[in-house]
Amino acid sequence: MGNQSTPSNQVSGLTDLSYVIAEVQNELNDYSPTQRQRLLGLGISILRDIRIYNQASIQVAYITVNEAGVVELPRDYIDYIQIGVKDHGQLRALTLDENMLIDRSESCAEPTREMTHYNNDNFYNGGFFGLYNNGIFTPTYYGLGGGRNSAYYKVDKTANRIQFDGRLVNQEVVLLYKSTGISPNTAFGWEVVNPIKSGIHYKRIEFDLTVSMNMKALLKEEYNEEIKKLRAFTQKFTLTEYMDVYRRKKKQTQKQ
Amino acid sequence: MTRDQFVELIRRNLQGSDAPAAIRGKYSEREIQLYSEMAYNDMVSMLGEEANKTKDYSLMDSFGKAYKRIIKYDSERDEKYLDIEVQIVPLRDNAGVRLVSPYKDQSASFDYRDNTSRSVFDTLLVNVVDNTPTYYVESQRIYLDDNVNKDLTTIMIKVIPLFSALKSEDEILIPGGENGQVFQRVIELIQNKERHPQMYNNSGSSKQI
Repeated sequence: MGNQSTPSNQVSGLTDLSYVIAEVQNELNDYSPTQRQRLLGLGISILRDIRIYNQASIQVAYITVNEAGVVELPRDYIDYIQIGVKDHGQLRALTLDENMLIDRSESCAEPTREMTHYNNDNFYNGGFFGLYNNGIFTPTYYGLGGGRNSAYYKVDKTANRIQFDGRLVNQEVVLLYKSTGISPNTAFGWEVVNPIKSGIHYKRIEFDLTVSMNMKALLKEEYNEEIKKLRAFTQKFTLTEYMDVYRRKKKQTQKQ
Repeated sequence: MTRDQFVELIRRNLQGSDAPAAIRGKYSEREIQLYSEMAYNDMVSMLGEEANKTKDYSLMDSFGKAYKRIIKYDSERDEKYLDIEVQIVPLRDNAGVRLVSPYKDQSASFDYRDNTSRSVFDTLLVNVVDNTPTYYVESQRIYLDDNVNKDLTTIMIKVIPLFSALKSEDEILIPGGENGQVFQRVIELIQNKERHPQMYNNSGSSKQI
């Protein structure tokens, strides 16, 4: 079969903002030390936008919920992707409860809120296998409405935390969330280089009154094009993956 | 050509028949030296402006001279700095300072920041994603930030010294094709003085325009 190891003489599959700035300086033919810091500042803001709107930097946090059913959001949290619990190697999502009361009361810097446990509409607390429908016990899940779960959450972003109610195994939740990924080790794939680069080219002249409007329009258009390419790259899937998803949802039943 | 040769050449030119009759042989060597200095600094300044437009800094680099400097510590301000020790041509973006880097590694050169931009760049997280040391210029000192390696002691600076800061045997650079312009510039400066003496002599009178 020959050598199956990956070639060792290739550059890394990830790069960083310093590389992008070097490319921008090269394109501008400006190698002076005076612009680099400004270009870096612009690069950071563009990378942040890309992370929020186009290609998320996904982080995962395994967090223990306290007795009040409250967890602090991670420092770099921007938005959640999934909130759930571990379930046989999979993430089982919990349910959003918009009606949950936001309770920020504290005593001696400890939250005084109490976690509410649901007793009836719970699939996962053991023993439940049916429901009362208009007073008649129905020993199946049939007719049971959706949106029920073992535990529920509500994000209180202002207070930088999530509240939980219900039952949680080991009081542990898994939070899959978006982060800007901006850190001393900020790294990203090469597909993000061109969008950041074209964004910097546009942003550096956006408020320069000496630059013509059509030049600005051209650079903005190029930036938007690069963002579209990035989105296409990020959202692409293989034929096998598509077929797997398609077939998983299909089953042989009578036609309606 | 050395600095002294440069001045002597201009002096001879001004005394010779090439110079306009009105100024021919009228100025002492000391005066000519001062005018030469002005012409030289103007030329560097023009090249700086040109380089900003064309992004071609090669001529600016040719004017630069390298010096070895030791990092010092200002305990009152809690900042590292180094003494420039030579007067530099004031240019936009402090382009008179061409390079600040570790003495043995010019590829690891430091970035320039305006003094007042430091807090903005810090807020913009530039320091978080990039630890390239930065510097700003204050009078005759270059101040460095905390990203400078603690073990680094010697720094290379390349700066464009003022004409007056050059030694008599220091080489003078005149860009190719610009030789005649330097003489022309000296003559223009002198003629300008003849026409507008108030620009060059300030008696302190408030009536002076």
